[in-house]
Amino acid sequence: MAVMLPNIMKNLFSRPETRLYPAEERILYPHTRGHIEFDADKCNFCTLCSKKCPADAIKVDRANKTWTLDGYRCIVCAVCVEDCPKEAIQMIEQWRTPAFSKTVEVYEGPKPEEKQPEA
Amino acid sequence: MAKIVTPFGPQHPVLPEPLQLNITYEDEKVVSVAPAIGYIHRGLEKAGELNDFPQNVFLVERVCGICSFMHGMTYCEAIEDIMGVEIPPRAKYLRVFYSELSRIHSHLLWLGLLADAFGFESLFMKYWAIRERIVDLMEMTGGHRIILSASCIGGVRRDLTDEQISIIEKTLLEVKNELDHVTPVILKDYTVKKRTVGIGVLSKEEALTLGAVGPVLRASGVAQDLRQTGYEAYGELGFEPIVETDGDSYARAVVRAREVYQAIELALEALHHLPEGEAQVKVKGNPNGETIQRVEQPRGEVLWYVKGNGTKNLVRMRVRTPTYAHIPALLKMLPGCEMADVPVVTLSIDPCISCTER
Amino acid sequence: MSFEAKQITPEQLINETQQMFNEGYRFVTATCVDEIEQFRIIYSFDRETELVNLEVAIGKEEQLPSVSGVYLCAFLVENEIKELFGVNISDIAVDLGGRLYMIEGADPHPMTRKEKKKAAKGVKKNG
Repeated sequence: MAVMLPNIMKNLFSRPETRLYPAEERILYPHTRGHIEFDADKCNFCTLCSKKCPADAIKVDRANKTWTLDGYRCIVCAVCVEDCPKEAIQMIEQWRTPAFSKTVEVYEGPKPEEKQPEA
Repeated sequence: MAKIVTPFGPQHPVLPEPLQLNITYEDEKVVSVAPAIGYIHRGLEKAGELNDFPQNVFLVERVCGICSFMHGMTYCEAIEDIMGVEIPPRAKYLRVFYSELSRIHSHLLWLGLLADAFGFESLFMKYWAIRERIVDLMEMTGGHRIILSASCIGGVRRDLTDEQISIIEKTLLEVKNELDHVTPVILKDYTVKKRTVGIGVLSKEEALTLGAVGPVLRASGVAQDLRQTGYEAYGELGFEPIVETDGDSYARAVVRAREVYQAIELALEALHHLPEGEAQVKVKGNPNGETIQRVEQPRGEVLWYVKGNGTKNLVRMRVRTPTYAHIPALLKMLPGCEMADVPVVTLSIDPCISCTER
Repeated sequence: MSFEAKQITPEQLINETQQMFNEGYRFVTATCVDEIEQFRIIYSFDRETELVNLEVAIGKEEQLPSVSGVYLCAFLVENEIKELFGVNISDIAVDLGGRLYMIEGADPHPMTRKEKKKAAKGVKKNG
């Protein structure tokens, strides 16, 4: 007990190690992998991200131009962010918040009919 | 005196994971032990055959939470070995740095849990408060608190900036300073000694024949550490294994308490000698061949066997984790000790059942 | 491909393992690989960080002696191989009877490979 005594005295008179959470929030680091955000305008629906995704969280439908993310399957590994040729996927530091039910995010790109004249 | 059989676990306050030991007691002495595992077998080895091999890096990181980075690294080393990829020197040093960071965090976690196992709660909280600093460093560099995902086939995904390096160096020195106040408690305190000295003794011969690895083997007086083989950049950093001779729970705690300091030194050394250049090389093609790769994890030696046949999917992926090797040793340590010492002895091998069952 | 193994027959296994034991090697693990026509089992031993492997190839129905009589700690891995692959290993020191991981009524031997055609096709395409 004698060896622990200096520590105990220090604990008595020092500030708490923990934060008063809702009042004082932790500052997130710039490289924290929080969640991914998708920009449908930049995407060319190449399906690379869905092929590389280790958790099968991303599904891309080339014909209907939809991009679907199952956010609660996503393991936030950032492979899609690194491999996207159009930089359509961004990593955001903020963590996903808890939810009552699992939701799937669906993004729609420009419809094929609209885009065909350009190409 | 009649014998009674009592189950220890699968749910027990000292066990973070489900391991069941059916213990036969005579009075309060342990006579024999029968283990039962299989509560969290997830079939990861089979899953590794179904996924593409680059996707497996993220799968194998989830074999175990604590040794996460080291599993990913060893798997990457094995694939690189099969494909004949030479990773850049900077990546080798970064892998050493991340490995040692994992080791510090794992050992601090374990030392805290040990203190908790014999009811020394303030020491437990002290250790975990220090560990939080390391976990913060992991988040700053890797992006997540525990699952770093820093290793990839062909090098390291997360390079360090000069600014990050100076923060890391500063924090590691502060951690060392804080540890100087806490480590003497584990090494000298009367309560700690009373609960660990002479408990769960494993002799040198028993440790070798029962296949113990890592800190358990070193606490029994065998100077063996796979970092001596000089994988990654360990060969250039200079390294001596830490050895204790008593083989009891106390010796195992001392080995780990001293290894934390050594790991801090090695991490600082790796950062100090960090070469310039790329941290990652592009890898093309599929693995064709087989290899065995071994690495020293915080808990001991891990063995990875990987076999590919030139396709995206592997033929076989196998991992033998340290706790797997420790279970026979645990069955030897327990008989003869008191009922109240069972949690301490069980914890002294640093059990990780997720690793064991995969 | 840094991996060498000494090829031995199932009959030699016990003697070779005993020799490793006498020379002071530590038993690391056994790895079973399903090669569809046969099983390959690689026994790994370690002495002062030097790894030595013994490799046994046996047919799917053949019987393999257990090394747990020599190295007691091999019982866990032999139970695992017997349970997940269905290798016929006899006389394991502590036989858990296929209840290490599996529960009653589960599919037997989940690690065996059956997709022979698919694997062979994949090799041809890339090689």
